[in-house]
Amino acid sequence: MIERTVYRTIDRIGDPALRRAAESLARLVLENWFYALVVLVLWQFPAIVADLSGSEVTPRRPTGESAFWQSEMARALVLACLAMSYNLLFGYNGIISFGHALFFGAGGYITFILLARVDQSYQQEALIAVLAVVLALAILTRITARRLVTLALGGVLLVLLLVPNTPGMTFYQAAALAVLGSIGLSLISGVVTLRLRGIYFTMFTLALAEMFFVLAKSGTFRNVTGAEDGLGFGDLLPAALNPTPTGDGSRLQMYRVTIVFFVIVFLAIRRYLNSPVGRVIVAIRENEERARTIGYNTFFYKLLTMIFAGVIATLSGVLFVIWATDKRVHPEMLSLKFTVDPLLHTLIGGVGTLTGPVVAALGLILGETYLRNETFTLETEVLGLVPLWQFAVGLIAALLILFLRRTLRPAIHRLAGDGGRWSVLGAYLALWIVVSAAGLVAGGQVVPDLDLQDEVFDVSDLWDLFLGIVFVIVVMLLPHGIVGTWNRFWITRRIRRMERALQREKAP
Amino acid sequence: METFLQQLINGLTIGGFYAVVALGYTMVYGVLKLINFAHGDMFMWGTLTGWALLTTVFASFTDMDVIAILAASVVVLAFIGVMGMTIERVAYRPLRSAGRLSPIISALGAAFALQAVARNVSDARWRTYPEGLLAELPNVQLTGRVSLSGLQVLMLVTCAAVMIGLYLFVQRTRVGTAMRAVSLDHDVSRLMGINVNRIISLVFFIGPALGGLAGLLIGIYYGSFNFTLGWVFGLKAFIAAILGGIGNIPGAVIGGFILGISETMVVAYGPDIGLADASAWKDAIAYVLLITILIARPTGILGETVAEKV
Repeated sequence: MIERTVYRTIDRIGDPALRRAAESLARLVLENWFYALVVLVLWQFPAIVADLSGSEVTPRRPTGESAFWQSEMARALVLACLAMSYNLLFGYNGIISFGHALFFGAGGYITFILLARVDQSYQQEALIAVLAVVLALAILTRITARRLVTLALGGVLLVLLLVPNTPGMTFYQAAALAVLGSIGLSLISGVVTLRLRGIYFTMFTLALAEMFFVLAKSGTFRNVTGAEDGLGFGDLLPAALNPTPTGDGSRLQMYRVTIVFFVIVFLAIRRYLNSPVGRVIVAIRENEERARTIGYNTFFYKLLTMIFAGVIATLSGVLFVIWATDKRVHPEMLSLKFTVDPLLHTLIGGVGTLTGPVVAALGLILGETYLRNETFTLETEVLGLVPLWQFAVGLIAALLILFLRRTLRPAIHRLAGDGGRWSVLGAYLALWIVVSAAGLVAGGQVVPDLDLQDEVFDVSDLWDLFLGIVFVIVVMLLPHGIVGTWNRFWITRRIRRMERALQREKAP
Repeated sequence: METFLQQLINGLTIGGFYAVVALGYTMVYGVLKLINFAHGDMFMWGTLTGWALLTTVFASFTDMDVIAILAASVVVLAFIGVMGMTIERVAYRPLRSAGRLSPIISALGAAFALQAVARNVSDARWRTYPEGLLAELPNVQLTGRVSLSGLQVLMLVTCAAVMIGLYLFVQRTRVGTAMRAVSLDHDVSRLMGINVNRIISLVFFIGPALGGLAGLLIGIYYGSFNFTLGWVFGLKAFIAAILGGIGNIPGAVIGGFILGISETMVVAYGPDIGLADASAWKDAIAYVLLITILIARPTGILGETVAEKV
């Protein structure tokens, strides 16, 4: 609606240069206003929380009462970045990797292992690592000599630039080396694994990540990784990136750095997908054989995407560790949890949609934190309106009808007559009201007798069960995820409207 | 040499369990091309159900523990089998025609749900089986210091019987033939008059039921368990299935034994070759094995066909 008016106005501009400028400006604003709004809300989030909880954000107390929610939001944003990188692999390129946690954990571990050992210079080790990667590539692939030499020289140059010859290195050098290490890891694992097909590929990536998880936990490398206790880094963080809530505002600053990182990742992924390379990887997802037949080196594009997603995951890992409350790198970062979580965020949000993983990650993580801090009894009211048990009865009735809809269809259609879609919906609604009412009456008989009134439900016990059921229901009811279903809804509506317009043109 | 033999026997016992659980994965993968992540948790439910039965209902049968265990096995077989069929009906069948990944997520959801319920049922504590079960079974002395405990003999015999029985069932009977046909092509099998849904239900009965039985046996063998058993053990059993080439029953058996034997060998000889924390390396060896074998043979040891779906 707005779009149409705006573009119509722009079309009336006489001067072509001016019109083109106006058009690109309008496109920029119209396509991004929503994202900009979200970023603005995120930016002001500490102030909003402080406002809601009744405390002020003043220059002297820059975090107000929002310190806890800042860290939760930052954690959620970091995991949303991880989910976006996973979506890039899985949703856009069709690579189903179960080893994404490897890159996430590598970020944390490489950075802080390098940072923690202040008494040693790593230049030689880094050079050896680069040469080992190059050697492995030379053995395992049929890479051309020229590329190999370029790769080797580039790696050596980067190491010489990044790794000082003197002991100790700064945080930024360590993080840059972690990125370099992640690229090396992608190259090696990608070269080996991308030749495997289907389930064997998935299991190979899983095995690789799990192997590092087990070894990071094991006592064999205790003096490097800190085994199961994790690697403590205490005060090694530079002051500018230290989110400890000290009241000097550095936490707020780190929160904003996290938002900037999130925005950059989002824009980078969008740019990547809109580039020609992005078109090719989507083509590979749709049909790899065909893409290869057209003449694309699909292996190269898949490897490139793996490297890109791996680097994002690595940086997310570094930020995740920075936000860890106990200032430790835990081996759990390498565990399957950080592969399954982004996978689920991607699926629930919508596979192959830009915003889906973000929506699902923020919703699930913040929702979990919120619910874990609440306690529920049967008397608790949902949204301040309905008691919990009545809500549950209504929900169960709805699910019952949903699952039995095949069986119910003839009866419903008889009830609705031939009044079209809306009366069918009305019939379902009437059925729901009847079933819920019956349930409420029956429940009303039972509930006062049950001694459950003051029973406290602890969400932390039930969360996994709830999550499990959510997955099953989401894949059944919304196979395209939240954002995917939403997009489809608008697209079908638009197509239908165009069809109707076409018919109207034909009719007279 | 004698330690080696002893470790080999221990490895065979553990490998037998891996093999039986791997059978469930490989059968489901064969007919549906689905990684049934809930299988490991159903295995754990076998342990849990067995524990619940042996500590409550059959607790009074202390003198006749063989009868108690037999009765518990029957109940576990039926219960876990029906559980498997229910999960297939609720979580997998509606998604049969939906994409290649939806059923996997549904399986993950089912696994989470099973694990969460088990955690609440067992109060998230380590639970122990009654002591002294089958203690009076005679030990078998092979040579000087190499011996099989009666329990190990029982486990090995049970696992072997299950595997041979299943192999014969799949290869020799009409239903087994139907199963192999379904794993090749659903549509053509249907045209040939096979009730595909019933075959799939049967697979989801047999696989989990055998897994549940293995769970009960492993509960007796190790004596204690907690609710995370299913995930770890299930993952390794799945790796065993992949090692042998998934969808292939002899492959799963071979993979299970290779995995079990390498694990015990790492624990036994790891400290000698400088792997200090042997229990961690015991977990890592499964992954190392998988990586090396997949590099050498991308479709597992016995696998021939390249899997299309994930």
